[in-house]
Amino acid sequence: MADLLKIENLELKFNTRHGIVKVLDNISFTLKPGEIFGVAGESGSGKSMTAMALMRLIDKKLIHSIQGKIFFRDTNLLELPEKEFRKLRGNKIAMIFQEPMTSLNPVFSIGFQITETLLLHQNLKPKEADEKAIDLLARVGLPDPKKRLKNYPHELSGGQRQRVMIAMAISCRPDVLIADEPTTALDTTVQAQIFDLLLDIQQELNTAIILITHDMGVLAQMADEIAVMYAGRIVEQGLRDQILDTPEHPYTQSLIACIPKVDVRAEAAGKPPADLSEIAGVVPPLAELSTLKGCSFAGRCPKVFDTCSTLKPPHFRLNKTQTAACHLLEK
Amino acid sequence: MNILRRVFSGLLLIIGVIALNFFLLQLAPGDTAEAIAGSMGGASEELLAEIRQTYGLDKPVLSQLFIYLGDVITFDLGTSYFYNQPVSSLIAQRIGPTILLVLSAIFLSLCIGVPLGVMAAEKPSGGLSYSVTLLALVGYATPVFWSGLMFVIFFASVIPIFPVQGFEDISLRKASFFVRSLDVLHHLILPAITLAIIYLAQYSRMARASMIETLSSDYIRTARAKGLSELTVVYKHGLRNAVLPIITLAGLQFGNLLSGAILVETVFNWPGLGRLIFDAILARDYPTILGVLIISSVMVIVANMLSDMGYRLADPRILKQG
Repeated sequence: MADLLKIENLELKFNTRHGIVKVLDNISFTLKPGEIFGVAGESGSGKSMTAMALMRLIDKKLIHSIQGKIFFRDTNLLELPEKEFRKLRGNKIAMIFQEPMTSLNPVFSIGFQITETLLLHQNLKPKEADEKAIDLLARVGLPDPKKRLKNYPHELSGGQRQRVMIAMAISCRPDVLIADEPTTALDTTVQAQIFDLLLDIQQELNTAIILITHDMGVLAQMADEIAVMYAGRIVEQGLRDQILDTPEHPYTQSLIACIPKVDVRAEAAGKPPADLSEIAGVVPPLAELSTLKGCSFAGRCPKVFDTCSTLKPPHFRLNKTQTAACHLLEK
Repeated sequence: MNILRRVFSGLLLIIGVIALNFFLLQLAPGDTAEAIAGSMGGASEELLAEIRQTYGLDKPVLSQLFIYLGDVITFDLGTSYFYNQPVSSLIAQRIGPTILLVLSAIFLSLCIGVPLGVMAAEKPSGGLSYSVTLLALVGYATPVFWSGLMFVIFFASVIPIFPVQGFEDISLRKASFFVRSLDVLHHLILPAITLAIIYLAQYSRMARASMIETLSSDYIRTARAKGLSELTVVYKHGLRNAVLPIITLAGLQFGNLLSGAILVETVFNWPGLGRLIFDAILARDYPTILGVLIISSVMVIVANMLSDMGYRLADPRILKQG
């Protein structure tokens, strides 16, 4: 099938107090219609920045330069004038955010906020938009949708607000839906409901979803393909099973080791549960990254050796669908 | 229900204000009867006693207060010693020009200050933003009477395009209503601008700060992600939120605005309550002072109630909790 979204060598640099800093380094991936593409990584790895760059939502004052290409079907989004891009944003490419509690405008009703998107992108009369908004709210599983239209965000719970955000995002049947940690702020049972909803929508509308999360466990259930990001770079990418079963990059391996395992039989036998593992250290600050010569993970990598601190590892192709950027693979 | 409760507490507040002002005036040095006698060119002990009896000044202070409160309820604010007219009719003559002046000043400062602040917030480190900050600083630091006097000097001698004294042109007394209204507006311009300067400075500063904060919030990002134009994002989604603290500020400052009006009215010879109380203070005309104080407290209380209601209308989060 033809590619829906194709990102080629995306590179983003910021102006900061510490000088020019590379935020995204050589990001490339493709998205097919209806595919769920997972982006994993810790805080500060550049997951959200990639999404914000796709949506062109990054504050222009921060941007020093942005290079590469982002093809949506045949149009390069980075070359599209702002006015033209606005016709796609919220319409064919939509996004839901990490913070459902604060992502809705507190002074406008739910109905207003949903119909605003509909009226903007679709040729609807206000009454038709209202009806469509009711359908959408019912679709995302909000009880009593007609009454909800008149509600204000503060009258809804976090999970309900995220449902409203999803209703808004899918209102124009987008081809691409970017979900940036959509359940981080919600409790566990609600998380599962939201993911079920996203899966339903993906199947019903054949929407491709870019699912950004730090939780490999979620990607194991949802994603078709996974990219693992570290310090602004994709360090490993492949089909879900490849990443989960045969991870080649030490960072991916550590991330997978962090998925908590529940061994029911061991617990029944009275054995204490296994300790949760963690990756020692933190993602190096951006300002340090730009002066780094070698691999950005070298400082935390359990398998580090000489070359790692002197040379940046290129992407090694392991097979038709999997690549990883680690010097170990050269051997 | 809620509104009734507010009106009731407003009434209690007014009674409190009356009592407080009444006692404060009692503490002022000097004997009222002597002041009245003085304005008549002096009097004997017998005449002083007679004056005290006429005005009820020989009764205990508390009963004086109750008599006064009882009168106020029937809108009788007493008789001015100085003008020899009922205080209520004095106030009735003067309240119009003051309300006109104060409302024009609020209107001017909001209509200029808020957009200035919003434009500055869109580019917090741009030239306009610094100009607004500077303007606010200068405007805020300039005393009203000084800027008023400067206007008077400038427009009286350098470019005399605006009248610098009074409320209307007496020669136009017989002209049509329309011509007279235009004339009043013409007279209004300088006093209104003078009074507006300080508040313009405050509102623009407040709007800038409030807008900068609002524009960095998550729901603004959502609005952009919907594909809305920057104009809609800033003026619809942003301003509606940023204006909330300004509504509160405008209500709270109504009292300051009234006291500013005293100075402006004096400088521009504007025949309002400010000038009335200024003259009354000089003449020790207690009934008039008390009357104006009561009316201005009522106006401040009403203004606060209005801004409170405005806030409730603008912010759905508060409406539902009431």
